[in-house]
Amino acid sequence: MEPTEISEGRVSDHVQLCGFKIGGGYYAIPVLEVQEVVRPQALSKVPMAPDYIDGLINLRGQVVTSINLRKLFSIPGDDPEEIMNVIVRSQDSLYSLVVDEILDVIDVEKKSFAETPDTLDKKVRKYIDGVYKLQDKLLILLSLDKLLNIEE
Amino acid sequence: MADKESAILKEFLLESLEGISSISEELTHFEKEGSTNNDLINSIYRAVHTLKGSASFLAFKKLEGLAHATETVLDHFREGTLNPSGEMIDLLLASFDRCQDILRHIEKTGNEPDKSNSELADRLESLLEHELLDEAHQVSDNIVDYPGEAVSVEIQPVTKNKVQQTVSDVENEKVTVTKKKETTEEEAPISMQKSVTDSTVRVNVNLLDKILNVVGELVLNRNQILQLSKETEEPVLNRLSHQLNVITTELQTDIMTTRMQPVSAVFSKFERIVRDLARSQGKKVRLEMQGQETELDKTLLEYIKDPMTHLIRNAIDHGLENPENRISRGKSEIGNLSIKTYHAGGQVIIEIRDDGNGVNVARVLDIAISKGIMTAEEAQTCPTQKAINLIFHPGFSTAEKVTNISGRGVGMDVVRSNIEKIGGQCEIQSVEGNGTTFKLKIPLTLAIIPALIVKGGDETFAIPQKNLIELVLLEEDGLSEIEKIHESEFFRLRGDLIPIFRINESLNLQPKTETDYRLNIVVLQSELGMYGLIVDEILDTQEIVVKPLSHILKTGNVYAGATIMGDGTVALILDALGLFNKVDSGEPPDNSMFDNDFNSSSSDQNKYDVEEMLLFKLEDQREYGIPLCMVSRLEEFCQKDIEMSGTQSLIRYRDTAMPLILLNKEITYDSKNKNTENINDEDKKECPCIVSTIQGRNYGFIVDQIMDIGKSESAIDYSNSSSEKLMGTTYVHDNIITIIDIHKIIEGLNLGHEKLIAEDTYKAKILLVEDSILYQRLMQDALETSGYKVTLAVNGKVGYDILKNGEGDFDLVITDIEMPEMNGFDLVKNIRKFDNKYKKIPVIAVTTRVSESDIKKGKEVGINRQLKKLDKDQVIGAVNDMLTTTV
Repeated sequence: MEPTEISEGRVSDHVQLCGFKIGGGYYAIPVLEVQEVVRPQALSKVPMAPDYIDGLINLRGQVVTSINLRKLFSIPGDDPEEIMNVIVRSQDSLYSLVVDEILDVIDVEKKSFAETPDTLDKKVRKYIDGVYKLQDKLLILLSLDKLLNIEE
Repeated sequence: MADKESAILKEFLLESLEGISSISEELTHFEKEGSTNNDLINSIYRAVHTLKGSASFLAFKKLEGLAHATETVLDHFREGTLNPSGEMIDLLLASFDRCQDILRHIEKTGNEPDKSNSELADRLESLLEHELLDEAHQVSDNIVDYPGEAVSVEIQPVTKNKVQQTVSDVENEKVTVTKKKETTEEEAPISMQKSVTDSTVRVNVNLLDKILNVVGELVLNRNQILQLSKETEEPVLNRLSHQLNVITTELQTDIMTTRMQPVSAVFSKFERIVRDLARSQGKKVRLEMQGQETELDKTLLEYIKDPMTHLIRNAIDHGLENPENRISRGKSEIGNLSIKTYHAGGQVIIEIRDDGNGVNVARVLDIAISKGIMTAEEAQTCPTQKAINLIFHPGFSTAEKVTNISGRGVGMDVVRSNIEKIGGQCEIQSVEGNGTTFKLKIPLTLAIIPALIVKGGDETFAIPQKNLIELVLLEEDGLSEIEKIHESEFFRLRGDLIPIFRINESLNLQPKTETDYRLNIVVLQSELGMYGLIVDEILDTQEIVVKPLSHILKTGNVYAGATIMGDGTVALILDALGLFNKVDSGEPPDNSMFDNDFNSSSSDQNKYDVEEMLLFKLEDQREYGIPLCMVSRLEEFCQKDIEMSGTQSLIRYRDTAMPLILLNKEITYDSKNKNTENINDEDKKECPCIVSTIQGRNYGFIVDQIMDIGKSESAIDYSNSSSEKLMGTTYVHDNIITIIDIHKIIEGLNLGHEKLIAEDTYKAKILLVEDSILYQRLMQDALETSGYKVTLAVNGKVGYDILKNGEGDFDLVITDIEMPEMNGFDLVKNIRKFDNKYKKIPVIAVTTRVSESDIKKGKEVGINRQLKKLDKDQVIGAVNDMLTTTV
């Protein structure tokens, strides 16, 4: 991954994203929405919860709901051994997005943004805001609001 | 005058002193910026206004007068009719300084200083007059050098000197004054004791919560370190960890205390309420409050404010009598109301006692009967305490109550549920004629509750102690005490049959591998009743810190929250009511409790109408069913009470003669002969009877044995009915059940069962589009009983044809959604495309399951309302509603 070179004056043309990988795909959320990234934690299961809820984590005394994006997006394959938890806050609760691998903070040009292609899998499309066209790959911008208010 | 310790006064001082210091600051700011800043002057004005208001409330006349004078000046600034001159601002500042002096004096002695402020106020007034005049002149022509300036010049040094003098006085006296009697001087030193503002800091509650959280983390860390130090035997580590332990515990307790407030903070306002209410009602009331210093969590205090206000209003309005009545009853003229607060058993108890009327048990029972909460028979044997408790029953609060003082539309049931919401309890004791006592038991804090820790599978759960009734351990030989009725398990707890659920099955957990021959039953109390929960292991009881769940997980309601255990793992807190709702619905344990899109793939049950059936047996030992929604009650009658009128059996039931139908006779033809013998045979035999209300009349159906209630597991098959008295068959618990068409049976009996509505006096005409015969019957029956004329269409296509051709003159359409030929959505979509009179006809869709997506879809195609089929009353209500609004 090559961070795009930017000069001081053009920062406003860019957004900073926290990128991560699930399966073969590249996803991102705005970096300001991320509280922290932590290694796998002890999980307490929530019986009867939807299958994409991995369970609850104790993050220094706070209860965090862990959401498995692979299951939520129905991406085939198993979680790797070393998953990562991207901790985000929504309203009053903390959530952990379980992803395969964390990429660096990515500076992308705003103009490389494109609307969500219609042909995208419906299961994923409803959670995303758009796509950033990077040189060598597409970066899918997830919407936390849509993700964490999971309903039709 | 005022008690200087009183909470109101303290609050007033705190607020006013803060207010004044900010006023002075803002005023200087305002002067600097000039008159352009409206926000600033408004904010000053408001603050002064508040000061005036509270001073007048507490009857500090001098303070009020001075505040009033400044307010008048500020008002002119605000209105733009006067530009602030430096002299004016000086004078204002001096006035506020004087206000501050007065406040300090009040803080110390509880009274205002004797010294008059009129001189200051007068100056303000005269300066104002001059300046106003001045302004006016400036506008008309440029007359300068008017006395206005001269006066202000004269005044300025005086005020300044005065202030300086005051300051120096204070400073001087601090050093020189020996404790002499300070009677009049407001400039007297503010003694060494710390003033209110200095000793308190206002802290945002959110910050306190955050600190509490961090301390929680610290406690967990401490636990781990303690664990470690036990393992290592390192003396230094041991000593340090011991210290850490002590310090952390102390810190934790202190942080908890910061959230606590004395109840007087809220209770003090009751004095005023009681006084006003008593005056307006012409009653004499003496309010006595005890234990006001008892402390309670701030959040809880806010929660109990409204319920308590309600109880106090009730006590004065309904409880205490007029002075005349009291005297005639031999009580003292003045009514007594006491609020006593104290600690007991880890809870705060609040007792609200009045020595008035007490609860009129007979009247309560009357209301309960008229509201249908209990029947007259039940009322006769109702114990007094139970009758008194009826006032907490939802729906007991009567309409007349809303209009009078005690009710603002809040009934006692709301009082109770509000108290219970915060984990408290609400009890009532009352002796008629001698008064009523309400006892509120409030937990010390919301955030920490005692709970029982249990295990199910590999998971740990916490069960709040307030839901817990008892623990039952069944040894191997006691396992037979769990009895089965079909698939449901029950347990006899001292004679009461309570349902039993297994936590592993209910929550879909991995059961433990080793089979233990002992069973732990946790008996829980939920709002819907008592039940037992079989858990794998009972660990212990703990004080747990409740953490809310994220909203994604809240939808299920099975969990009340989560908590962090001593070892750092997260455990879920079970919600007794939510869990009961979940398991009691009898649904197979799948993930359906979460109504998320992932489960929206319509389950099989959507394809047909699920119907609950009352199952019973007749003489032929076959199982029959009647839809549960048609059953009003189950009764048992003695054979000897059954009377005959002609060939028809009748029984006296609720003061009317109810026709009895012997289903054996109606249905089982082959055993006809036996049947007739039976009737006269055993006079003492109790006959189980199903009472059903059809078109406003009760009918009793005598059966052999009532079995169970079950859900139909397939669509009703109407083709199998061999007789018109049978509606069809369905599967319940894998058995074929024959459904009896009780409407047809009654029609066949010729009981003089008249149609309730004559052909031409109906309220409105309704087209009912419904394919299920059962629902045709039910809906038609309900609608006709309410005075509507109903035309049937057996599916969407038929309904479509009727409406397309403009036949009839229907006022409303009720349609099913799932139907053969044309479903409800398509029907409505088509109706809205018509260009005849039915284009805009109101449509109600009824369905057995209302889902979010269906409602959305329904709205799109033009359905006006969507309702659940099973709820007759709701459907009728909606019909009435829509017809009155659209006509």
